[in-house]
Amino acid sequence: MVRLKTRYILFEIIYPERKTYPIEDNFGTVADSALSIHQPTDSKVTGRQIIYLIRLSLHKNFGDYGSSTAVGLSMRYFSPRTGTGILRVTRNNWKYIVAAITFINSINGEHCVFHTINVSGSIKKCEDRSMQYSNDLIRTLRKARNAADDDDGASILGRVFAEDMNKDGQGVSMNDNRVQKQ
Amino acid sequence: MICDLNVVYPQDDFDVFPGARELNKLKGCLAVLEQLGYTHIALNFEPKWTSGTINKHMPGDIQKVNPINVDKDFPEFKGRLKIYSRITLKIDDPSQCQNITKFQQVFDIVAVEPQTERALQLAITNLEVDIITFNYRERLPCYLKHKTIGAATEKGIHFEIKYSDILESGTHARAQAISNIKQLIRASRSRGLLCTSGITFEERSRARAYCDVSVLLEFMGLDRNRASQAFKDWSLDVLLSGRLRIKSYKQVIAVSGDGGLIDNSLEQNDWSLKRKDAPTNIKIDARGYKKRRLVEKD
Repeated sequence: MVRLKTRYILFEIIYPERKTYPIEDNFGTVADSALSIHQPTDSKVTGRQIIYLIRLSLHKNFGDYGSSTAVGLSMRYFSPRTGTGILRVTRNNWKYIVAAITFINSINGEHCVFHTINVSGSIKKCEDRSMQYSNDLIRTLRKARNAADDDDGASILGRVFAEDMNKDGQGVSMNDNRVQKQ
Repeated sequence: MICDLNVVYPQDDFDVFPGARELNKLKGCLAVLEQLGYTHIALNFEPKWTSGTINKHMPGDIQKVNPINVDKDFPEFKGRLKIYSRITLKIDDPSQCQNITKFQQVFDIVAVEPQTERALQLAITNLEVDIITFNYRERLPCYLKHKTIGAATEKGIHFEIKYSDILESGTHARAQAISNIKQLIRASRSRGLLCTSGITFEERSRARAYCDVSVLLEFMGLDRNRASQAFKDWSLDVLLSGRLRIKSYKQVIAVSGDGGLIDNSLEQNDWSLKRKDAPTNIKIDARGYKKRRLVEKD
């Protein structure tokens, strides 16, 4: 009995050049730069669209031979809100897929960077890593929020958090729940 | 400890300083690299002149040679990133390289870009440099032989690979860059290589995480372990050798601060506040400490 061997790739999309909400070009603290770089993906972007981008990049960079490595490629999880996703590829081809992801530089004309966080043989480990990653991110933000609270919300970050709380009552922990729900 | 030893500083002239807009964009670059997991970053000053012509343009005052002032311009990144300064000098006329020793006093890392075969030979045999780099987008100045490259590696000189050259697809320059990098990897037998980004302040979205780039390097014939060494061990080696050059004197080393040897904090302290006409941007080396003590005694 031959088993089909796979690899799961956990990736994240970050937007270094987006200049909208919440903070415009402010890199004063770790939290500020984390907020201005880790931004949500456009909600219209679907997993299928990203698969298409990867296939396009494979063809552009590795030709027909590279395209052939995308046979078992599928998106197992994608959340535009956090910009993270998990891809499933056949085991022999994962390097081609990671390289193709690295070469992608825009989605819908907007500059972005694909950042591979983890490559694993089981989807469980990818999920664990994803949770750990977003927890780390949230911890840095929480720390900054506590510091901002001490400032009586005088800093930019404090005001942003206050707005966020009014909007959905959950603050930044929203991202955290999303990942855990899956 | 992941290093990126080449983020281009937006200035190519000794007199024309970058504006606030450029510096802010550069900070954006640093923030992106920080988010991607880098911890040690070197800002690279590339004068537009080659070694033959730079003498005419160099300021006579040595404290004005280094335009990068990390403490003054990047106070936000204190405690987050370790930022170093680097100079890359293009060498076309091998007979005029005396000013390299001058650069060693003010920059953390000294790199050269040889433009002829003779310049490469000279850089390896005679010059005290940390990094040798090439313009990978064009043809290399000569065929790289294992003997010359091996001699340099033996001496502790490292060769640089810039990954931003291979990200832009569908151009001739990229094909040339890939072939050049493969040639370098073959000639060096995968030893003594550095991998850096080489991004400028406008190319913020060209930055990539080190694990992504090491997969690309694997396609070019550098194995996984060596690729991670190019970002970690070998890059730290370069920083360390630069450090030792200014912090050691006759086999005695000055160790300081929490970061031990690879730490800029002590040199950047303004030791000379009491004295008039104090240099601000010069690294105080071991001899400098000695001199300072003598001055204070007087």
